[in-house]
Amino acid sequence: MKRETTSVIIVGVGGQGTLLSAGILSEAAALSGLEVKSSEVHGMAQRGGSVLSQVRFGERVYSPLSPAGTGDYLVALEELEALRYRQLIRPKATIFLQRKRILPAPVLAGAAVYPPGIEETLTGEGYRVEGVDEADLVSRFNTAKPANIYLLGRLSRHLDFELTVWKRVIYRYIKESLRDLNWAAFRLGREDGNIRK
Amino acid sequence: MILLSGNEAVARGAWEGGVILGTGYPGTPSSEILENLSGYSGLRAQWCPNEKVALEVGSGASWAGGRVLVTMKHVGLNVAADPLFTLAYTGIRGGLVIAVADDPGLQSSQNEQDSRHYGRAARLPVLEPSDSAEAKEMTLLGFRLSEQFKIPVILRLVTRISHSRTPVFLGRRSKPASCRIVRDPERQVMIPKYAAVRHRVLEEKLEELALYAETAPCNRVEPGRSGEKIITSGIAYQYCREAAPDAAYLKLGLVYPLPRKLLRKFARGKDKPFLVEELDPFLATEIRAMGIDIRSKRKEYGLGELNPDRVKNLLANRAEKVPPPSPLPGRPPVMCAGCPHRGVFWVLKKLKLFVTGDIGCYTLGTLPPLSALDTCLCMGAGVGQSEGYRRVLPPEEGRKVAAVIGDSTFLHSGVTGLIDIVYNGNGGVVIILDNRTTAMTGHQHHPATGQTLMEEAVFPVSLETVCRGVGVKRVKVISSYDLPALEDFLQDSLDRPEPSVLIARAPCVLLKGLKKKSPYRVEADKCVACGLCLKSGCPALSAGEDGKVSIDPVACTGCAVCAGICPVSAIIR
Repeated sequence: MKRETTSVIIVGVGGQGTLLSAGILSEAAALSGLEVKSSEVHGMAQRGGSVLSQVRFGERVYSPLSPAGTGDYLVALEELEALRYRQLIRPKATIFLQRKRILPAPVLAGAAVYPPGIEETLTGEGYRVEGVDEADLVSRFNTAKPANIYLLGRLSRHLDFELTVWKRVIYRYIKESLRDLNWAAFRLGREDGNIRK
Repeated sequence: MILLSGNEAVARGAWEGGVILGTGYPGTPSSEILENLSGYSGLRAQWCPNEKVALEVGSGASWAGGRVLVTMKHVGLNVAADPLFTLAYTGIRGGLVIAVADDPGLQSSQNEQDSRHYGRAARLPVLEPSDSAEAKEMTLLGFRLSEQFKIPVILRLVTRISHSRTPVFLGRRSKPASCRIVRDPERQVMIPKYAAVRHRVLEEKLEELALYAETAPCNRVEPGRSGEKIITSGIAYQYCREAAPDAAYLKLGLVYPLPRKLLRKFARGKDKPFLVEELDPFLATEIRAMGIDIRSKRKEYGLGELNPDRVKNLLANRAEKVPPPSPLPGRPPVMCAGCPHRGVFWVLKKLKLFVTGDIGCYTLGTLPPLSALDTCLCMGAGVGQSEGYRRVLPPEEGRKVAAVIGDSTFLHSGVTGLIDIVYNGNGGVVIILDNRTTAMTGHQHHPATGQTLMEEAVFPVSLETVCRGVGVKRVKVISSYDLPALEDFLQDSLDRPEPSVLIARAPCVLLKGLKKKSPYRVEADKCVACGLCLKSGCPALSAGEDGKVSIDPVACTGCAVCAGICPVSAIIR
């Protein structure tokens, strides 16, 4: 197991389940015997604001915030939020991206333009993007709701946590009626996440 | 070992410490402390109408011998400051810890005041944890110190501690003390004669506490390898550890009063220690006043929240420039689709009123496209402000001033402003945006919802009866979605000599158990692409390239505000 601190940045829009995936990742790391610190900005998260969670784990972790440009992975449930927070991760680090655009208020009001070609921008800057279409998730699950857990599945390929640990945490965190759906989404993400060296 | 947020850890510490009562008023980032405490057995946790009442209830329970936790956000401590200062004189019987959560960086607040100043101003010890484990331990320590020195203890948190999850080891609950009446007027009746004595006693306690601070385990020295020396506390300690892993540290857990000898000893030598703290130069001022030579941050680092990068620059004494604004579109929080406040603000804007307001989801009404809220100072302020404006404006200007306030906020500190309008005022209209909950902080109950934090059903305070009771004759309850009725009532209120209260009532759309109505849609043939409905700022509405509007059927709650706005009746169910 990698012993230096690993930092995962999880971003999205209020209501997308950003905080839930940060909670699951934190617990999975803690159950794997690592020290974990996670931090989030909520408060206004429910009101459609931008949500940023950071999860850091390793032998010994001090700051719950990761220094800019040192994060190891970015999990983004929305494209603009991926672009907004990309500076937090290392150059060439991997971004797990749901291809989905949620127009923010200034764009809806015509006061700003939603940046075009975000995935190309990220790839052009040297990041490695593992994307999934929202529509693809809908066709597989009839809903894109478990996108957060699906992307955790993709991320899980890069971490050394046991599958049983993930399952335990996901079952603990998600209410009974949605457990099987989310576990299936996690497994699918894990299968889709082929590590290219 | 489990992962807990700082707020969960404080609740856990209170429970382990044998607390029998928790009181407070919700406020980000402190709200989850009491919500978590209410889940433990063998105690009671309750929301009070405001922070002053919460501390008064807490002081009564403490004087009877019980351990009490009182929680609030930083600005709430201003509300509770009156009992706080004199409670320092009287002291306590059962341990009393006041958990106050500051918000450096203003994630969800109207200012970024530094509550440590209250320690010096009110002469009270202040503990400052740097992670969840310390949040729990310092809550327990707070109760021990409180009883040992017979003094209330401030536990100072910040957003980054309250809302970060870090490992905590759990302990068992100690047995709560039994409570009884103790008559002790010289300590509990602060008439000048007794209070003068208690002031002297308080200063003696502080000297004893400063002596305790010298050897307190929560003030610790950590040796380093680089020769660099850092004095720090709270979350700043973690950032320093990241930025300067090899420095020697004096980490302060008790940030007021400070250990003079320990600081002097640590500062000795040719290299001056660097003092790192978030927000105001509180420790730096105190330590310099002791005649100890330290280095400290440049002024600009006292604004906003610190982080590992800022601390690195701060330690290098690098000037910090204001970062250029991001070229990306922002994503500010917005009123939800179906929010009952939206229609009210639409009407206020249509009538071109100057709207005095305060703190709540409705403060978002100030942002474009609604741009319909003109003041926000503190809880309750808009009511009194509207009276102040009208008092000095020429009548034709004064008639345009209206106040808005939330239901929870009205009970917190709006009712006194309304009494002033009745007593001193000259008309005007106060609009209570009654969404049946304390929405912004996460849907806490309040005295008018008919439920307590422990989910007991209780008598719901009637806002209309309160308003009539203080002497407002024109009180009207109108659905927040009935735009024509809201407009009629407001129009009819503006030129009256007597005050009016409009209670715009509809539950918050995010409340659990609320049934969603079927969504509306736009008839594309009828839509003339005028964009008027978009000016309501409803996030369920968006325009295509041709300017024609469509409605997201998942987000739409069927509130019909946009349908009422549309000039060509193109929005239908």
